[in-house]
Amino acid sequence: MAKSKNLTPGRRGFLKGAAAGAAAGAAALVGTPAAKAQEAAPARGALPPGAAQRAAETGPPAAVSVETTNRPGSDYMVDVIKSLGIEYYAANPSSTLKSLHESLINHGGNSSPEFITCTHEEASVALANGYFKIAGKPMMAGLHGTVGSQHASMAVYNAYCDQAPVIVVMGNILDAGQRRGYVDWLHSSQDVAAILREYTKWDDSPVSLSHFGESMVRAYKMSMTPPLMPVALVCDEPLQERAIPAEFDGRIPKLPAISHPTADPATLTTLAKMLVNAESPIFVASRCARTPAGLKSLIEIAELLQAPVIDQHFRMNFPSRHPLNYSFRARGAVTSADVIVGCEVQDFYAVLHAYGRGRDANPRAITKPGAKIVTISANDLFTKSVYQNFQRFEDADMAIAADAEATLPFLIEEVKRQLTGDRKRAIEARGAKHAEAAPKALAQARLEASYGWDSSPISTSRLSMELYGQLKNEDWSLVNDTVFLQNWPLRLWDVNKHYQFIGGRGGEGLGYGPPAAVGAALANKKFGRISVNIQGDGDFMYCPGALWTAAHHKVPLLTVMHNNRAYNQEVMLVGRMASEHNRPVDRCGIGTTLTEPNIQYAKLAQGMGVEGEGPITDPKDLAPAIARGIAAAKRGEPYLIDVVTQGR
Amino acid sequence: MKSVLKFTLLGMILGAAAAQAQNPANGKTLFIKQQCARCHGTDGQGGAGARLAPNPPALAVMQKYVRNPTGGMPPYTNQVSDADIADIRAYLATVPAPPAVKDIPLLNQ
Repeated sequence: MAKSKNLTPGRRGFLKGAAAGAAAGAAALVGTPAAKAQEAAPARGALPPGAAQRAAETGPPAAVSVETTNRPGSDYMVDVIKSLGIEYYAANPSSTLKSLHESLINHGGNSSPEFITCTHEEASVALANGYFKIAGKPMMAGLHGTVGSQHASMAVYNAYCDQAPVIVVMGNILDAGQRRGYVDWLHSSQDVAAILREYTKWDDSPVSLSHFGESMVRAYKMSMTPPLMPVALVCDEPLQERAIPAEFDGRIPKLPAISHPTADPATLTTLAKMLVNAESPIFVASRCARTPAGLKSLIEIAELLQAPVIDQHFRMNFPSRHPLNYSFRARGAVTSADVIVGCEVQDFYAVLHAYGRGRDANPRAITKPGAKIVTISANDLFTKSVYQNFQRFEDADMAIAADAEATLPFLIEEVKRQLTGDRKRAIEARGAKHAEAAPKALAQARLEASYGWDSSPISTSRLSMELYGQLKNEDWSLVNDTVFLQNWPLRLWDVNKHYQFIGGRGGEGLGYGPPAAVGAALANKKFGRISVNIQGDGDFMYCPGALWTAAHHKVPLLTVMHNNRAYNQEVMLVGRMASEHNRPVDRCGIGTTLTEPNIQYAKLAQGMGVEGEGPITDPKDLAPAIARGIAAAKRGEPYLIDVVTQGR
Repeated sequence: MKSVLKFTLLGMILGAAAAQAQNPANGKTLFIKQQCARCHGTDGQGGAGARLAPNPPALAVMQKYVRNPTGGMPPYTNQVSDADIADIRAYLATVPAPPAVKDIPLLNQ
C-alpha cells in the first residue's frame, strides 16, 4: 500500500518513487505476450497505456512512498490574495500556475477571488483594466510563463498608459533542475517579468513564501499609489506546489491605508491666487477623476471660478451637459484663457498647440501671450524612458507633482479663502456668459447629428441616439470609448455619473474593447447596471473570445457593433498616402477593409453562447433590437446587435 | 452690347450643357470608390471630414479645394477629373435635407 507522506518537499522524490513503482510492476509482466505487443507499439501521444503503466495502475501496489501535500505553498498564496479583498482572477489556464489555480478553486472556494476563464492572456489583462475603471480597485490576471506573458504584453501596456492597476501574476520555473521536459524549458525564463518591466510599475520574483507574502501586499500597495499602474509578480511553480514548510509562520503582511500625494500649502496659495485673479481660467482633465470624488471636486472648483472644463474623456471627469463643459469647444476656450490648469492630462502639448499640415510643420502655440500653464499630475512622480507615453514637453509655468483628485479639495478651500466680493461679482458675470453659450452648443450638436439621420449604412449619431432613447430610463454604464463614432454619446447624452463613462484604450492598442467591456460589466453587475459597449469591428476581431467569457460567467453586457466593415482610420490614412503620392486612391481598401466575406457578428456571438442579431442596415430596425438587448441585459445575459454603420 | 449678349447667351448654353452632362449616379459611385465617403459619410453628412450635403459648395469652390485643400483633407491632384468632381457635386446636390431637429424626438431628449 502506498503511504501518503505529507510535508515532503520536492517533486524529484515523487518522480523517483513513481518510476521505481512502475519499474517494479513492469518487471512482473516482462515476457508475457501482451506485454510484448505493448512494447512493440510506438511510444506516442494518445495510444493505449504501455505494459509498464498498466502494471503500475492495475497490478499489486508497490510499497513506495507517494508524495501528496495537504498544504501546498499556493494555499498560503491564496490566503494572502484573499486578505487583499481581490474579487476576481482572470486567466487562461496555465501549467506554470496550476497549483495556484487549484488552490484558488478548492482551498479558496473560488470566491474572492473567483476564477474568470479567459480565452487569451491579452483578454485577461484587458478585462482587469476595464474592471478597475468601474470597481476602483485592482483584480488579478494570471499569465503562463513566457508565452502567456508575450500574449498579454500589449494589454499590460494599455493598462500602464491608462493608469489602471492590474496585479499580474506570472508562472515560471526558475530552477532548471525542476523542469521536466522541453516545454518547461521553452516556457521558462531566467527573468520572466523582464518582458513587462518597461511598462509595469514594479515586479518581483519571490523565492520563498514569506517573500511572496510581502511582495504580493507590496505589489497591491504600489499599484494603488498614484501614479496608478500595473505590477507583476512571478509565482515560481515549485514554490506553489511544495508543501508549506513546517517552520513557516504563515504571516500575512498588512495592507496599509493608502494616501495620495497632494500639493504643498505654499504652492496651493500661489495657484489659488492665479485662479482667483484670472479673467478666463480653464481646466483640462484627462484622468483627473479617479473616483466619483474627483468628479465632484472638479465640478466644485469649476463652479466656484465659473471656469470652463475641457474633459478629454479618459475617464468621466465632468458632466456632459454642464454649462461649463467645453470639451467640444476646446479650441476657443484654450485660445482665450489666461490660466490653464491641466489635471492629470495625457497630452497637454497637443491641447496648447496646433500641429499644422505635414510632419515637418512647426507646431504653433494657440494660447494667448502670457497665459500661465499649470500642471497637476502624479505622473511627475514617476516615469520610465523606453516607451514614450509621457508625451511632448509642455512648457508649463508651474508643475505640481501631486495627485489631482487628492489636491483639488485643498485648492478649493484656498480659492474660497482668497475670493473677495469684487472677484465674486466678476466670476458671476463670467458664469452668465457660459450659461448662455451652452444651449447653443448643444443645439448645434443636435443639428449636426441630424444629417444622415435616415442613411444606410446607419449614421453613428442615429445609432447613438437610438440607444440613448432607451437607456436614459435605465441605470447605464458605457464601457468603451466613443472616439470612432465621433463621440456622439459624450456630445448628446446626459452623462453625469462617474461610472457612466470609463474612457478607452490607454495605449491605443487594439484588442481592448471586448474584454475590457466584460471586465467593466463584471464590476457593474452587482449594482444592477446595464453595461453597454459600442464596439468597433476591427478591435472586436482581436479578442472575440471575450464574448464567450461573458456568456460563461453570465455577465450582463449589451454589445452593439459599430460595423463599418473596415479599419476605417487606416482606409483614410492609406488614402492620404495615395493622394500625397499622386496615385490612385480607389485601391486603398486593400489590406484595410473587412469585406469579402462580411463578418457575421451575430452568428459569431451565437456560436459562443451569446444571443445576437443583425446585421442591421435600416435605422428603423434599431429600436426593437435595442429593446431586446436591454431586456437580455436585465435578465443578466450578454447580447450582441450587429449594426452596419458609416465609417464614423 | 449685342456681342455681350451673344457671349452671355453662349455661356448660358454651355453652362446648361455642362449641367446636363453631370451624372449624379456616377457621382455617387465615384464618391464611394474614391473613398470620399470614408471621411464625409456616404450621403455627405460629415464624419471625420466636413459635411458636404445637403447644399454642397459651389462647383468652382469644390474643384479648387479638392486640388488644394487647406484643412485636414489630402490633396486629390489627379485621382478625379473636373468632370468627376462635377458629377460628385451633382450627387451631393440630390441628397435631401434631413428632418428638422424639432421633428426628431430622439434628438430632443
